[in-house]
Order: sequence, then structure tokens, then C-alpha cells
Amino acid sequence: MIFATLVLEREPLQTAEFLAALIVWVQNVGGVASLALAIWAIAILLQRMKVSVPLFSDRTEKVLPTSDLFVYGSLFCFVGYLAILFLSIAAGSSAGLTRFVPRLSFDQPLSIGDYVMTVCGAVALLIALYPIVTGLFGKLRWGRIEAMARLSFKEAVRSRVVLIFSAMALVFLFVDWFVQHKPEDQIRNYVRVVYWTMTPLFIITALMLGSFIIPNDVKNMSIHTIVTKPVEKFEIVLGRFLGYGLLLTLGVAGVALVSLGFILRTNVTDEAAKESYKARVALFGDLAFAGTKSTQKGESVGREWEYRSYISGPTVNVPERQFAIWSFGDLPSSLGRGVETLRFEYTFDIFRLSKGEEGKDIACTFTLAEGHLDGREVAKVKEAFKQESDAQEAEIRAAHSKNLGAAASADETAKAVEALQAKLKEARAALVQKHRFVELAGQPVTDNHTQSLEVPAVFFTALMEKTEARTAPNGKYYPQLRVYVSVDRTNSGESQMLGVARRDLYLIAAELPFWQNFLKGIVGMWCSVMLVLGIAVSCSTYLSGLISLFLTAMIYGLGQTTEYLQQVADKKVEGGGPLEGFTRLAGRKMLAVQLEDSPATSLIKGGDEFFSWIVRRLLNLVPDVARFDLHQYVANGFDISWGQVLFMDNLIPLVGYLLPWAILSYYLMKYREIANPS
Amino acid sequence: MANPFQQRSRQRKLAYGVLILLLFTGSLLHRRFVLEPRAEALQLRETSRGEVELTGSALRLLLTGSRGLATTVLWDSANKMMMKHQWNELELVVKSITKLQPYFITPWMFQSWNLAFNVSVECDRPRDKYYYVSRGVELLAEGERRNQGSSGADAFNIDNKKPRFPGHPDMRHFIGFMYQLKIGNSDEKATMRCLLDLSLIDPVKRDPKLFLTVNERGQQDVKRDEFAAFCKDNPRLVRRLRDFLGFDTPLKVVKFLADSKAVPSRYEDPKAGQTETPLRAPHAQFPVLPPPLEESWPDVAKRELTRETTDVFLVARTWYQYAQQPLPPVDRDPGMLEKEYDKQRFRNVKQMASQIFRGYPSRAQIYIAENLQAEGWFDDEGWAIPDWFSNSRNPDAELLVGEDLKYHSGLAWRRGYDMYKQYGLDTGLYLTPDELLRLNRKAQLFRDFVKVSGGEVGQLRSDQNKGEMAESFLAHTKLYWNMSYRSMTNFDAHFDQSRGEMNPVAVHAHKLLYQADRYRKSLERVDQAINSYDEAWPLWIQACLETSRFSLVSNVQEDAYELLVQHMRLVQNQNRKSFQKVFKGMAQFGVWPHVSFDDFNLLTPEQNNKIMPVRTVRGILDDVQFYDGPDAEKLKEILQAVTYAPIHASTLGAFGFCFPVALVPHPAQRHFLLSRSVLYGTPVPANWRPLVSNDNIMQVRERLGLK
Repeated sequence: MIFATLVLEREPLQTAEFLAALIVWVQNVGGVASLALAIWAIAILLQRMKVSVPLFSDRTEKVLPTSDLFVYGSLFCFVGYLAILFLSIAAGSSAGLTRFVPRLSFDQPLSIGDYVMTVCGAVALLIALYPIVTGLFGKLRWGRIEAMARLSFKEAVRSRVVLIFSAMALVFLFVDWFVQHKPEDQIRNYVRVVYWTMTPLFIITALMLGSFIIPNDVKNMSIHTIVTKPVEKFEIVLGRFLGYGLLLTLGVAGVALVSLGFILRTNVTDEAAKESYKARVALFGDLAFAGTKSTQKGESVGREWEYRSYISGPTVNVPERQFAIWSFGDLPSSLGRGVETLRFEYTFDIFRLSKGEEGKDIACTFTLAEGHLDGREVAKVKEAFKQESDAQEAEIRAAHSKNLGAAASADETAKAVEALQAKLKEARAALVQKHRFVELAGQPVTDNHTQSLEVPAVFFTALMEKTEARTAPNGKYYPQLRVYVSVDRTNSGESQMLGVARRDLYLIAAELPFWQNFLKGIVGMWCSVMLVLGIAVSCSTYLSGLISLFLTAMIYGLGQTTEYLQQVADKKVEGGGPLEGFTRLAGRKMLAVQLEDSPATSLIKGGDEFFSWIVRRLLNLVPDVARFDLHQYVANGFDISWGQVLFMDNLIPLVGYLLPWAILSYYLMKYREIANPS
Repeated sequence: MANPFQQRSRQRKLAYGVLILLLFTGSLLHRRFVLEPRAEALQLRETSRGEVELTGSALRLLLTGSRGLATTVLWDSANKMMMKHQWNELELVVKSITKLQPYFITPWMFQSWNLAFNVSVECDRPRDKYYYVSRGVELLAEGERRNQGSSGADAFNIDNKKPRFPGHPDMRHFIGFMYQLKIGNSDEKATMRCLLDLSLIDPVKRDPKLFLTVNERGQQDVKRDEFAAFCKDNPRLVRRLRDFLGFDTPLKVVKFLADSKAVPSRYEDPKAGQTETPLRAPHAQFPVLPPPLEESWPDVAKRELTRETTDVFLVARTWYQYAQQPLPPVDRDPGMLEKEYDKQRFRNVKQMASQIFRGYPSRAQIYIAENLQAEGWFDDEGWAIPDWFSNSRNPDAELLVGEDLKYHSGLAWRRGYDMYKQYGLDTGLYLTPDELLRLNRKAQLFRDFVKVSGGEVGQLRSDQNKGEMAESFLAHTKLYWNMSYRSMTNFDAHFDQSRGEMNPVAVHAHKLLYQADRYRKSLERVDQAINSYDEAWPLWIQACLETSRFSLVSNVQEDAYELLVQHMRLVQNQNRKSFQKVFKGMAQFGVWPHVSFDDFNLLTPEQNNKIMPVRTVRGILDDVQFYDGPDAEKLKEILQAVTYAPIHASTLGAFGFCFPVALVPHPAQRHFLLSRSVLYGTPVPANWRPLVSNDNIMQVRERLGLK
């Protein structure tokens, strides 16, 4: 973007959504586990084998009386998933079956299908985890793992992998040759370039290191020197992962520090400093609309990208205003203390319906009121505020007119005017405090530029002082503050459209230094590097180096295209699925032309339906790597929160994704025939 | 002593070594003396195509076979970024695409158009628009450099017989066209042109700190001397800001300079303490210009870019001229026979007819002249800046700027005329009167034979197409295609207009009309406006009659008539009460008994108000008619001779008593011969024409809502 706004098409994982996310994780991971277990169980049943399971702190594996439970449990999980699958397909034609189908989003309540899948998934996971937990319990030794890690680190250093990191120097040396920028985009572009370069550099390094080392050990037979020792095979995997992980972590940290130095040494332009050379700790509200067709969305102006909704100003024909309303839930109690004003920043898009006046902004009114008030009540407060304000002003002016008249010199007049202004300000502050209401009319909005408005701090302290519960009779929780934005009428009667999105208006709670945010952003990059390393190491426990590399690259590549895959899964791609697309191509039918109703068309659509179902399933297995790209925050000057973004949205998903791969690598390594005793 | 196996092995190694050395040397020599000359001759080397960029080549090599995939992915990303308004990132992606595909013209053309048009239009502030226009232009200019054709000293010399890789006329043309559309003719053209002017000024010389000071009242003020020097150096910029953009105080102008400090520029970023900022490398300058192949072209290596006045259309004109370089030799008989040309050395234009394409440089020159006049620059008398430089001692002090000849619009029009004439001669669109007469005479035989008029094609059987008839047929065909291409290129209108406008009388008339228009808009000096109009019209009529074909150009007629309508309205508004009385008196006079409308209150106030203005008022241009028949000029000469003969005789003393010196006609009176001023609506005799045609009058009246 060319202005400091945070465009997030997917919100970070919220704390409140953690449980729901965990359920989905159990369902997905359990689904994969149940499929694997089903194959295993069928093999066991067909071969009439007895299942032996390891016991805690015992090297031997014994056949237990409960062992059959594992087999039947595995089959039960698989059948559960299979049933849900059939019900999902059948639900397409029968609406009554929808409650048996898992919900599509977190907003919907849990369905029977969710419960079934969660239970089946949890059981499958337990069955899969049991041998690992019991098998490794008390056997894993940190010393051995550390030794493996140290070995991996030394091997990598000896193989001069670190030299790859010096490739970044090329960027630092030549970036000024190729990256031109508008003054306000200076930092944004540098950050973009650094992230664009660092990410592939480390991803490729992680890919190469993770994919080849275990297959090379096997190929060179050096692994025999390890596995013939009393060492758990999984310790090799863990050691390799940790060793390379440490090396890459040091590499990322080193290059990040040099990159930061590179950015900091530049002469930052005033415009760039204002827009992005900082880390705003911004409070975002939830966006709703009033006066538009829907309270959830504003008007559409026909833009292809529907991230922003639009409101229009009053016109002669339509005198009613449309409002974009931001609701701020819980504001920090310290807000407004020790300062005179607090700053809101806004960055709106203008869609012009008429040419307007060259170089002239459009004017908007910002109204701040308590969150529990509805539109009518706000209008009443506004009226009362206005009346009292006018009366007070008249009174104060009358009182000061004598002083003004008596002023003999210019200095005395200036002093009198100053005193009058101070009194008016004081009176206004008292009114703001009393009514908990602020209206700022005629605020200029320039298209694609960050602007700000200052709100008296007394308004916020007054809001904080209010101790009444913010719960409505119906149990709804009121927000603490609402900000109403509307477009003002122009003298010429023209109307322009104002494009708004949730994160286009925010309250600045604090500002942190840029460098800190830059390094936080690097943590996101580190997560994606670890993700690739984890997948590559897991794959290499069974596959050859090259195949592991391609498979990991493919998984990561698919992760980059989740947006498109989601569109395919939701059947939102223009021209339909692959079969429909092929039919159109072969028949030279334009996208706008409807396919004829025929058995062949039904077959094609059915095939595409199945394909989208496959893609939906695939989406559950593909990592959402876009979440680790935090450059947006850094480049636009928004603070990356430790809890919400780094922990909840980066570290937890990373662990959640790598855990199943770790389980898989445990089994693959365990059953791989490398110097096995038998 | 080595054993026999070792000896044999050593011998084998030696033999291999020698063989390798021989093969390597052989391949090196083969490459040097066989391959490279052939590659050079066939223009297959990368250097033949234009500038080679090292990073791009390295990147393409690194990608091995996946360049297509990478380009596709980047192209898709660029489209998405465009959709999401991620413009700074879009630029980076676009750069990457063009590095991967430097010899595929479409990405350069499409993405530069995307930046200059689609992205810039999304911005509200002219400064932002200007930035993206500059990015689009620079991108395409970079593409042009990559595909510039053979480099070297005589790369642009089309007369030598050496092979050369031709550059892309379409790319070069489109760069000029971008300047023309996005800076010269956009909605915010006044601001955009100012920003272009700033790009051309050394940042040190337009640094706001240079002009700002604090006056004795503690207020911010402008240093008059420094600001006067700035005005002297940049009169067009200052006048545009003041007269067209409302920056009516020096402080406002300086504020504009401060706001627009960081525009793309010809110069490096200024450093503290510098008194003169060094120029950027030619390709990194904005406005980006082609290499100065001709002396008259702007030279990017010099601080003083050009001796002409700097103008966006000058930049456009230079690119249009540069676009002509790769074109094949010009065909003087267009439409007659498709002529083959050496495709290794020349490249024809793809996007439009080459006749239109070749006319762009002269068209741009006309724009320069028009632009000068539109901004109030007519002659070398300059512009006296009122108010800004007055002080208590000299309240009427004015600063005179822009007295240089380069601001003379008449000279710009003359150059336009010369360029149009040359273009007409080169392309065969312009035939001299003698040539025209000769061809028409020759074509008459064919026309009589097949019974066709000059505007019809006509055919001959092969057995008839010989001898004198064949020559006549050729003459007819040449005339037919000449007319057809003249019509397609609108050559006559442009040529005749430039011929008329370069006339000093027309220039002066324009100046008066411009002044009148400024006075009219200011609403304060209406009398002066009316006086200027009154003074201008006779001169305008003279200019039209001097070059009768000039007055036939419809947009010349329309523009003049529109001003006349405004003049008439102004006169009515200024003398509203008098006119009202006259009209009421006339109405009163038309009835019997002559009842006074006012005494008997016969008209309501609304009806009174509606008397004025009169919508169907006619002015001086409505009345003029002139003879435009065959041999009009000869007739004028005869009439002039008849008039002058007695006067000359009187100077000999024969009729001195009849023609006192005071009656000697001015030579310019000759142009008024065979013209008359009659009431509008008087039938126009055969071979006569009204000065402004009825169609054009109706067009203007409709446009102004007077129909």
C-alpha cells in the first residue's frame, strides 16, 4: 500500500479462538492418524498378528490383554471419519443432514459431526502417541541429542553453509541501484527487499540441510556408527533438527542484525519516518455500518478487491448520512492518563464519483461516543452537547467581552484573547467529560495518505471512570467506545465515496522503536524456516534426499498458494473447476456463458465438486505459511504483539504443524531398516 | 624411472592435454573470426539489441529453464498487487518481470502503461500522480534502452550500409505519448507541468530555505531578491502557479516548492553545503530523454537542457523525433505501391499508419506553440509580475520576466509550420501548387476517358494502361492517394493553421484576446477587457484574410467565435441598463400608442430581468464574407494594381491633386480586398465564404447553451 495501514485479509488467531482451533487441529491430525492406523489395523487383522506395545521404562515390547483395543480403536476412528465423509457428500442434496457435517467456520456452533470427528481424531492421536510416549519415556537423553546437534552444527559449518548467508551482502551493496521509492515508501521498500531476500535464502538453506543430511548419512553409512550405539533413532532426528535449527537461528539472527543496520544507516526521509519508521501499538475496533444496505458491509463501488466497503456523503437527493462505525471493546485503563490528547490515525480510500476540486481533500465528521448508545441516543447526546456548548460559549464570550474591550494595547488584547481561548477550552473539556462525547467535523481525508486527529484525553478518562456494567439485558457485551465516521456534504452538492476497512482507523496507545519491531518480524521468518527444516528432516527419515527436497518444496509452495487453494475449495474460481474449465476451453465457451443443462454437465459439475472436496482436505494438510510473513507490520510501522501475533499466531501453529511430522518421523525412522537387530 | 604403464599413462595425458589445448585454441579462434562476425552481421548478439544489463543476464542464467514459470508467477502477482493497490510492491515486481523478459516488448509496454495510467489515476494528489507517471515513463525508457538497437558511433546513421538492429519506434513513440497525455493534457495539467518544471530545476535553486525569512513582525516572509531571481529564471512556472493555480502570493509559491521538494529530478539528491547539485546519469534523470542525436534536441548531459523553452511537449517532440529513426526510408508516393525495405536495418511502426506516425513531431511542435499562447506567452515583451515586488517607495513596481525570444509563440508557430511543411514534402502529403497543377493537368486525360472525378479511384484495363494514358492514370492515382492520406492525417488543417498562426498579426490578435479573457475573468477590469476585444477583432480578421486557408480551419473558427460570444455577453452585462432601456424603447416604439412600459408597470421584475442578456446577438465575425473562388489571389493583385496605379502616377506628379498622401492605402489593405461586411443572414454569393461558417457558429452556440 502507499499509506501506513495494516491490510490483513486473515485476522491473527485470537485467544478466544484457541479452543476452536485446537478442535480443528485434533480433527485434522487425527484424520491423518486414523487413516494410517486403519491401514495398520487391517494389516494386523489380515495377518492375525498379536499387537505388542512398549511398556514404560522397559525396552521390551509385550503383548497386553488390552492390545486388541488399539486395533479396534483404530478401526473405530476410521469408520467415524468415513461416516462423516459420506454424510458430508450426502448433505449436498439433503439439508437435514447438515448438523452431521462439521461446521465451516468458527462463528458457527459445533455440530454433531464436529463432536464425532473430534472424538475419533483424539482417539486416533492417543493410539498413535501411546507407543511414542511409552517407548521414549525415560529413554531420551539430552546429552545424546546435544551431541547429535553439535555434530550437525559442526558438519554444517565445515561444509561452509554459512557462506550462503553472505549472499545477503549483494543486496546491501546494490539495493540502492534498483530500488527507487517515493519518499514515504523508503522504509517500506527497504523492509520489503530485505524480507524478500532473506526469506528465500534461509528457506532454501533449510531445505537443503534438512533434506540431505540423513539420506547422506545412510548413503555414506556413517549412520551405522551411531545407530549401533545405544541410542534412540528418534534422537538422531531430534539432534539433526536442533543442530541445524540452531545454525539457522544464528544465521537468521546475524543477517537480521546486519539488515537492520543497513536500514538504520539510511537517511530516512521525513515522510517515511512519519509513516513507517516506528512501531505503533494500535488499538483496532470492530467495523460495522449504518445507513447502508447491510450493517456488516458498506456499498460496493465495483472494485475487484472487496477488502474495503464504501460509504457515501449526503446529497441533495439522498440527504441521509451513511456511517462507518468502529466499536472498541475494552480500552486499557491507563489510557488518557498523563497526556492532554490521544491520537487516532486513519487511512481511507476515496472513490470519487465526480472529479472534485484539484488538490482538495474530502471532509469527514468523526463522532466519538459511549459504546452502549445507539444511533438515536448519540443524536440526543449530540444535541444536548451542542446546546450546552453554545450557551456556555455565549456566556464566556459575554463575560470576556469587557476585558477585550478594556484592553489598551496589543499585548493586553492578545492576553485577553488567550484567556478567552483557555476558558473556552476548559469549558469544552468539562462538557466532553460530562457527556462523554466528542465530535470533530470537517476533518480532511486525503486519498491514500495517513492522517490523524487528536482527541482530548479527558474523554477517555471519563470513559474509564464509568463503572457501570457494559452488559445489555440480552447478555450482549457493549463496546466501551464507538467512533462514527461519515462524509460531509460539499458546497457543490457532490458526493464522494469513502472506502473503509477494519484496520483503517486505530487509536494509538503507544509508539515503540522500529528496530524492536523489525526483529520481532524476523521471528515470523524464523518460524517459516523452522517449518521447512522440520518437514525436510521428517521427510528425509524415509525418502531420499532429492525426493525429500522436492516434497518439502512442494508442500511449502502449496502453502504459499493457500489463498488460491481456498478459492478452489470454495468453488469461487472464475470458470469453475478443472473439468468445467477444460470443457469451456475445448468448446470455446466464454466464462459468461452458462453450460447447458445436460447429464454431461451434471457429471462435470459433480467431478468438480469432488475435486474441490479433495482440495478442501488438502488445505487441512498444507501449512499456512503466509501467517509467518510479518513484513506488513514492520513495513507499515505497526507493532507485532508478543502474545497475539508471535505466540498465538506463529509459534503455536508452528508447533501444531510440526508435531504430527515429528510423530511421523518417529515411526518412519523406527521402522526403517538401518542396522536393525532383526 | 617410471614403468611402461606409467610412461604410457603420461604420454596419454600429454596427448590429451595437447588435444585440449588445440581444441580450446581452435574454438577460440573459430569464435573470434567466424562466429562473432556472423553473429554481428545477423544481429544475433545481445549487444546488438541495445544496452545489456548484467544483473538481469545473471538472473536469467541462474533461473536456467524456469524463467517462463518465474515470469508467469510474477505477472500474476503483479496483477494481484495492482488489484490490492500495493503499488510500491508492484513496482518491485514489475522490475523483476522486465529483468527476466527484457526483449519481449509487451511487459515493458503493458506494465509502464499500468503504472503511468492505472496506478496514477488511483491517486488524488497531483504529486502522487506525477510520481507514478514518472515511474511508468522511466520503466518504458529503460525498456527502450534494452531494445535500442545497435550501439556504436554510427548506429543511427541510416545511410551507411552496415547492418544494424533497429530500435522500436512504438516504444519510443509511446514514451512521448505518455508525456503528452499524462503531463501535457491531463486534468491536472497545470500542476503536472509545474512539477515537470521543478524536475528540471536544480534542487538547490528551488530549496524553500533559500527564499524564506522572518519579517520584523515575526511572520514568515519571502526574500524578495532571491525570489525575483527565481521568477526571472522560471517565468513560465511562476506564471502558471500564479495565474492558473491560484498561488497568488510569493509565500504560497514557496510553499508549493516546499511541498513538491521531492519530485523526481534531473539532479542528484542535494547534499548540505552544495551550491550546485550534480546531474544524474542520463538514464536516471527525469524527465528521461533520448540521446541527443541532433543539435536541436535537448542534451541530457548539459545543465542547460535546451535553448528552447522547456515544455512537456518539447520532451514529447524529442521522443517522437527519436521514434522516426528506425523507420524505413520514407515513401513519397503513399498508397501507390508497397515498397520493400531492409528489415534487418529498419523497423516499421505497428500501431498506426506510418503517415500519421511521421506527423507526430510537427504536431508536438504545434502543441508547444499553442501551450505558450495558452499560458500567455506571445512575443518578446515578457510578463510584468504585478503586486509581488511593489513596496512603499514604489507601489507600482513590477518585475518583468520572460522577455527572451524562446517565449515567442510566433516563432514556435513558424517552427511548427516549417516542420509540417517538411513532413508534407517528405511523405508526399504536401504538393507544391505547381506540382498540383501539373498532376491535375496530366490526370485530366484519364478522368475524361473513364469519366471519374478527382475523388474517385478509377481503373484501366492492362491494354489501355500504356503511353500517355498510363502516365495520366498514375498522376490521377497519386492525386487520389494524396487526398486520401491528407484527409486521414488531417494535414491540411494543421498545416494551414500553423501557416496562419505564425503571422505576427495573428499573434498580436491572440495576445489581445488573451488579455481580454484574463480581464474578463478577473471581473474587475471589464472595460479593459472590452477594449482589448475591440482592438483584437480587426486584427484577427486581417490575419484570417491574409491567409484565407487559415480561416477555413474549423477549430480556428470555433475558438474565435467562442471568444466573440463571450465578448458580446460581456458587453451586454456591462451596459445592461442602457441596453434594457433601448430595447424597451424599441418595443414601445413598435406599438401605437407608445405606452411606457415602466410608467404603467407592464412588465414584472422577472420579465424585466429576462430582457438581458439577448441570446441571439451577433458580432463582428458574423458579418464578414470573402471571396474564395478560383484565382482569388490573382484577382486581388489586379485590384491592388488598379488601386495603386493612380497613386504611383500621382507620385510622378500626374494626378497629385487627386490623391493626397493621406489617402495612400496601407499595404495590408490588400488583404481586405474582395471581402465585405454585411448583415448576418445576407446570402453568400457563389465562390464567396463567410469568415465563420454557419455550421461552426451553430456548434459553438450549442456548446454554450445558446441554441
